[in-house]
Amino acid sequence: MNRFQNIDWDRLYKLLRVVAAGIVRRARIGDAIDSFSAEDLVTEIMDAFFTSSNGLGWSEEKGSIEALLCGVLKKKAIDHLRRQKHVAGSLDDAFGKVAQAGKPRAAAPERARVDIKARLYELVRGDKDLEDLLAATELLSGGHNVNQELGELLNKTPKQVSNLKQRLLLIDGVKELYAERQVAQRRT
Amino acid sequence: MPNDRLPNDEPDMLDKLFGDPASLSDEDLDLLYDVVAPGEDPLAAIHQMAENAAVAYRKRNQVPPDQVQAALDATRHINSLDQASPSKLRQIVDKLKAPVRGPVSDPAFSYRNRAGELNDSDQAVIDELTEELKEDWEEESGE
Repeated sequence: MNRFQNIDWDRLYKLLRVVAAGIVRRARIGDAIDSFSAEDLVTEIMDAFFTSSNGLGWSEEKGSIEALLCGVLKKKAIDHLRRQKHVAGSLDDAFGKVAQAGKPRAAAPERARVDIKARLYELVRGDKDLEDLLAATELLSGGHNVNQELGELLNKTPKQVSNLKQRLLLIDGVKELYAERQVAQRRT
Repeated sequence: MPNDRLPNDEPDMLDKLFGDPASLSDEDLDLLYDVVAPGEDPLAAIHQMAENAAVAYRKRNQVPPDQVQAALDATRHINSLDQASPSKLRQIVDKLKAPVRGPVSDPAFSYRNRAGELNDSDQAVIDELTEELKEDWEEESGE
């Protein structure tokens, strides 16, 4: 029996793309890592998986394929940053010299997080529900069931929270923040 | 010692808002995927990468490994169910059998998939629909 036949490829690919977008977003605001976009990272991981004679040694007993490939994705991102370090500075200083290379301004980790938060609040200003959603997000404990936790804070059902997030993502500026759309624009 | 952490690895506000992607429901994952890769067909992307890998193996006179074959089988464009593999058919059946989330137009369907006990009112609706269905079948078989 082929142990890979029950993989949900659709979910796996979507998950890797979303995780990669998050890594690229956190690594550098508005740019790709080492000129690699989130899409490139996912392609690299899937190529590694397909060209490995044993599928990177995965079996169900070792955990989910999603966990394995997300781990590999993170390692590849680190490799790219290391390579970048040789060109532009220390990995620990990835938001110093490296971030300045080809960038209009440096984005320190703290600054980047504050930027995202400030930009989100700016984008939803005037929409009380979305402002409340962001405020509640700041109170999250970091548990697994985010919609449940947000629902309890906002007195809404998880489904209503999900709908609010959908509304948030319909805002163009938010989409760009989440998706690192600047990368796509630069590459096309 | 090599640094094995990504700089700025702490979750930002968007990460906190959506949580761990691995724990996302299919619905929320679809939502985020549409934002990061609008219009991109995930199965087509997987198929293309698996196809490229398969071609490389064949050029070396090697049989593609199981994961490549599984990806190709699962993402092959299917025009009719005759061509579908048993695993694909199982996936289709599983999806059809899965409970419907959200409002449904057919009350009997939602009752059939509900977890709790049926009350008298639920049972009456199902009995009524069953009778209706029987009558329809009898009419059809009588024609």
